[in-house]
Amino acid sequence: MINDINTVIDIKDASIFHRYNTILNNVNFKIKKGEFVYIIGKTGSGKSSLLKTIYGDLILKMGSINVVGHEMRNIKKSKLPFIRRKLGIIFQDFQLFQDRSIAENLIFVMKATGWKKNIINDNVLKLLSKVGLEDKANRYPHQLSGGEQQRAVIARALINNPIILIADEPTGNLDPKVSEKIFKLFLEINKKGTTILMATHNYELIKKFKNRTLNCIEGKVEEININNI
Amino acid sequence: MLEKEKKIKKKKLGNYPFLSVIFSVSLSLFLLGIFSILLISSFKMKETIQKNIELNIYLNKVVSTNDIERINKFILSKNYILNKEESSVLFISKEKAADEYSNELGEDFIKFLGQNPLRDLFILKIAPNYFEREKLVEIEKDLLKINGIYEITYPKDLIDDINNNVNKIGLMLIVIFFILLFISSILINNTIRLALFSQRFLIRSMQLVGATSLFIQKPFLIRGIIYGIISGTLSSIFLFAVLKFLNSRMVNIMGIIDSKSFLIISLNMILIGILIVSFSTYNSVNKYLNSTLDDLH
Repeated sequence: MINDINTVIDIKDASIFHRYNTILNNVNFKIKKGEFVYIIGKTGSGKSSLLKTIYGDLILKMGSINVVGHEMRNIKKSKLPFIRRKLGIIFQDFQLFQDRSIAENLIFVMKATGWKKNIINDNVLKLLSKVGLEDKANRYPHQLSGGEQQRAVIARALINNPIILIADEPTGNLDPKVSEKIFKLFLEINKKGTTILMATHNYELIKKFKNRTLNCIEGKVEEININNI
Repeated sequence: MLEKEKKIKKKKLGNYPFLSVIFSVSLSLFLLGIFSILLISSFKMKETIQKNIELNIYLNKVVSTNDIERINKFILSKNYILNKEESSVLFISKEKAADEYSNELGEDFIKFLGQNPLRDLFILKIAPNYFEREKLVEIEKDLLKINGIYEITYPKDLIDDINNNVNKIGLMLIVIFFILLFISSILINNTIRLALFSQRFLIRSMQLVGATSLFIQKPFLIRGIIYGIISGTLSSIFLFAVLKFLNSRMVNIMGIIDSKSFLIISLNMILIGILIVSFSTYNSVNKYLNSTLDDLH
């Protein structure tokens, strides 16, 4: 258990594996409630694997990772869905269902996580208005721009009021202007109290919107000063 | 334009391409049905032969009517006769036998011999569960204890042949049935795994947003059960049609496979269909549930 109730993620001496290869060694850091943390590093440096281990897509074989009060080492598969409902996961390639409208994408997730029918529709509009997509509810993903699709993904991640949003290169497929808007949206969400852990290599925006930054380099995770990049 | 877009077919959870699944499951179940019919036919054939095997009980040369009556009552009281009715025990007097024999020969052999050499005879039908050489020997010993019985004959070699061969054929059919069941399961499993391949990202997305495994599996399993029922019913209809056709062209198959047996085969086909499809679906969905993103690509 995490002693400090304000700690959302607590990683101690963790090694991150991808298949049989060790990607990161001896990882140690904490993320507190309400923090905004960037994870940077070159392609293949282990950013995504670290995030995947945090949300239980990769198995933690060594060390300890405590996520919103749950130890991920040897975690039972049956417990994972309930932990994931406390997290919001955002991908670079959106992973929206192309055969459903944006509203239906959200409804699908709500049904999958046990929402009652009578409150679903009201909440879909509330969520879409949070990300500025209230007038695009009936559009299909391919009818939206990249930025709008990423907003829809953020709305989807916010469905279960997550304690922390985990974003894996959320602006990787977007142009600089749209990327900045998405960054601002994350900052807005963060201001309302949601913790954010974002893997990115958009250094320009990291420097513009300064926050705590962790660097994955040579198999280690180090805290760095953004001005030294 | 928007109207057109709305017609995009939704990939409903659990709704995998059903035609290939139903086709292969129905075909496998049909083959299993054919083997079930062969199996039942071989056992029915054995039973029919068993019911028609007769024990001939020859009586002493000189027996009184009372003795015959006593022997008849004794035989009728025994458990090993086919049923406790007169039809299982037939009495042929030596005079009647001589008449019949004379008719067959076309001359009166008693006149020629000066006496009737034939004996009074009981013909006995035996219950199928006594259709083994050891049991028949026991019956023979039991009957020979009665005063007035001279000799008992029955086709010993035929009984051994039938027992050995029908058992061998039955065993062979059972082995083939299970091999076929195994091969069918593998084929059905592969078909379903391929059909579910299109749903792997849907399954994964649900997992990542926090849907429980049971919630994800449920629609797939419901579909599996429905496909199992449809396939079992289709293969039963097809099997019935084939039997009807064979019946009209060749042999009296419907006489061997009565409606009760066919109903049992059909229900079993539906049950096996449900079990195999549900089990394969459960396995395939679990495989995708336990895959990482890299495995899915």
